[in-house]
Formats: sequence, C-alpha cells, structure tokens
Amino acid sequence: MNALLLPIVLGFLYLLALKALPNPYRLHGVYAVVVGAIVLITSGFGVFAVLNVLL
Amino acid sequence: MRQSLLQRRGLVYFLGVIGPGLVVMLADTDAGSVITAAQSGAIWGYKLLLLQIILIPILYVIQELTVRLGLVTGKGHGELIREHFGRGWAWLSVTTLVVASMGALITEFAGIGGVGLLFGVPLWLSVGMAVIFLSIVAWTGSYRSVERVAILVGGFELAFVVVAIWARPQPSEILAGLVQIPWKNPDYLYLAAANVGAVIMPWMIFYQQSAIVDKRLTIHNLHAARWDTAWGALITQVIMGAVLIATAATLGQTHPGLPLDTVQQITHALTPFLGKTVGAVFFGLGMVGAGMVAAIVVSLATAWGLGEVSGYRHSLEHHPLEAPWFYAIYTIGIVLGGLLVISGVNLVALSIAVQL
Repeated sequence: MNALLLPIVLGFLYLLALKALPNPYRLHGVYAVVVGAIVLITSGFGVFAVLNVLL
Repeated sequence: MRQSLLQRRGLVYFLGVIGPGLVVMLADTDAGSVITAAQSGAIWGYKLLLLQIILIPILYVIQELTVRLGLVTGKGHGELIREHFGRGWAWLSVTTLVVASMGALITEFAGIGGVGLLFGVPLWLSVGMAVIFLSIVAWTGSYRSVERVAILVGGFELAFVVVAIWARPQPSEILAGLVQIPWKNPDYLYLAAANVGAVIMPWMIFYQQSAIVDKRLTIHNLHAARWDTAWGALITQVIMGAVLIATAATLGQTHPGLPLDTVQQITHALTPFLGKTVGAVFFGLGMVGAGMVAAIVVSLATAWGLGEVSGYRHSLEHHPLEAPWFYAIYTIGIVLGGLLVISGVNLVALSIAVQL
C-alpha cells in the first residue's frame, strides 16, 4: 500500500518544490533533474514490487 | 573564551531547531521496517546492507524538500497542494495519507503487542497502555513537549545497535556482502523494493513539513533544519542496518529460511544465538521504541494533514477545546488501530499489505 501511494505523494512533493517556492529556494538546474530522477526511481521501484506480487 | 561561548550558543541554537527531522527519521524505522530489515539479513546476509547506505542520501534529498517548503511558505503539505492544485487533488493526497497511516498504526500496535506477549503481558493490556500513553502525550503537551517525548521513546531504538554488536558480525563477511548484489534474482529485487518502501514513506513528507510549521521555524533556521534532517537520515539507516546485521550474523549463517513475520518469530529465532537478555529484552525495547515513536508521528501527520486540507484548527499549541477536531482525529486513529490489533485480525497478512 505504501508503495502504491508513493508516486502520488512524491509526485506532489516534487511539483511543489518546482512551483511553490520563490528563488533561490525553488528547485532548478541540475539538482532539479537529479531529484526528479530519484523520485522516479524510488516510486518506480515500489510499484514494481507490488506488481511483482500481484502478477 | 569568547569562541567557546559562541560555540555553546551555536549548540543551544541547534538543539532548539532540531526535532522535526530527527523525530520523523526515528519513526521511519517503524515496527514494519524492523521486520523487513530482519528478513533481509536472515535471507540475504549482508547483501542488502549497501542499499541501506545508498538510501541515506536519498532520504535526505526527499525530506529536505519538505524542509524548504515548510520553512519558506510556513504551510503544511496538504495546504500547499490545496493552494496550487485545488481541493480535489488535496483530498486525494490526504486520503492516501489516511490510508497509509491507518495501516502503519496497526503494524505499530502489532509490534508493541507482540513484545508484550513475549513477556506474558496480554494484548489488551500492552496495546491499551500504549493507546492511553499516546493520547495523554498529545492531549496534555505543547509541540515541544510532544517532540521531546518522541525523541526519548524513539531513542530506545538504539537498543538494536547493542543487539547488532552482540551478534558479533565478522567485518570480512560484511565487506564481502556489501559488494555482492544479485540484482538478477527476482526474490532479491523484491526484498530490495520492500526495503525502499520501508524507508521512504508517504506520511514522513506530511509530518516533517507540518512539524516545521507547528514548531514555527523560519527560513533563518534552514541550515540547522537541514542538519537535523541529515543526522536523522544517518541515524535511522544505522538502526535499519543494525537490525539487518543482527539477523545476518546469526540466522543468516544457519537458518536463512526461517519465517520472520512477527516480533515473536524474530525474537524466538534470535534468542538461541544472543540469549534472552539481548535477543528478547533489548530487541523488544528497540521494537517498542520504534512502534511508539512511529505511532505518534503517523497520528500527528494525519491530524495535521486533514486539518490543512479541510481547514479545522490544527496545532499542538492549541488546547483540545480550541482544536477539538485535531485532537479527535489524532485519538480516533490510535484507538481504532489499537482495537483492531486487540481484536486479533490476521496481523501478518495485514502488515505485509501495508508495507508493500
């Protein structure tokens, strides 16, 4: 369950860090790409685990 | 002299800011995570230890975003989603929080109750006492007092480090296991994914951001709040690693296939190697600490999150009569979770469903 919810929660967190913060605190540049990759891989890993059990 | 005074002032300031990161990270290694780490060590030896280390910077990077958002906007995660994406998305997000929290609370109480059973304490008594204690902590305290209690009970998790040292792990075997990654094995990948799920959790994001807001930290505290998060990430993964090492150095060597789905199974398996004091008492202390701090964090995250989206008053600084919904949601979650565990539903199946 945790794993299935991760994409939603991490997705919103990432979007907020891009949208809701003024400079210089807003996510930008290389770091934004790195954080995006971490969010994608982490959520993807969780969903993979669930599918692995269900299928 | 002047320098030491400045240093002391710096330390006092830092101690005043730390808390949201440390507490959320102590709660991160909750009862369910302890079971996942124990299974990892028993089945795969030290081969999942490297993952625990890799997860330290990942945890930091993710939770640091909540630090920025909380400090700069002064608003919680639910409130920000409502403002930027609308009510519908905010409700969706907070619903995921409620579902995850309810599941987590059940695993925490199952862990606490399991330790009680080891020492002959019936479920209703151990879980009932935990429910009462957790309610009193929130109802009678301010944000800072609740935070202090959370750090104190979460600190019991350090007992796992004693258990790991007592298990006499061989450094050469640890080093060998660190670099063996059987990534083509689907069972290994599955347990690796379960570890990621046990370390990165939805309610942590809600909690840390709301805690920063309730503690009234501001952007001037950014530096110290980042250190709070970094130290927390390190400590929680040391605890995960300690549990993994404890089972890898003992069960991993001789009985890698033992079922380890409950506290009782783990302690029964560890006791022949470590003796009753370390295998059961210390492991039990760590487990109770993990379950209690996580129960506080999960319930607060839910009560804050629902308040941020629906608009009811939500702060530990309010008296229960001033913020009745906030205290009611906090208490209802704890009581429901406790009752479900006492009722004797199939906790193993439920815990696995939650962790996934």
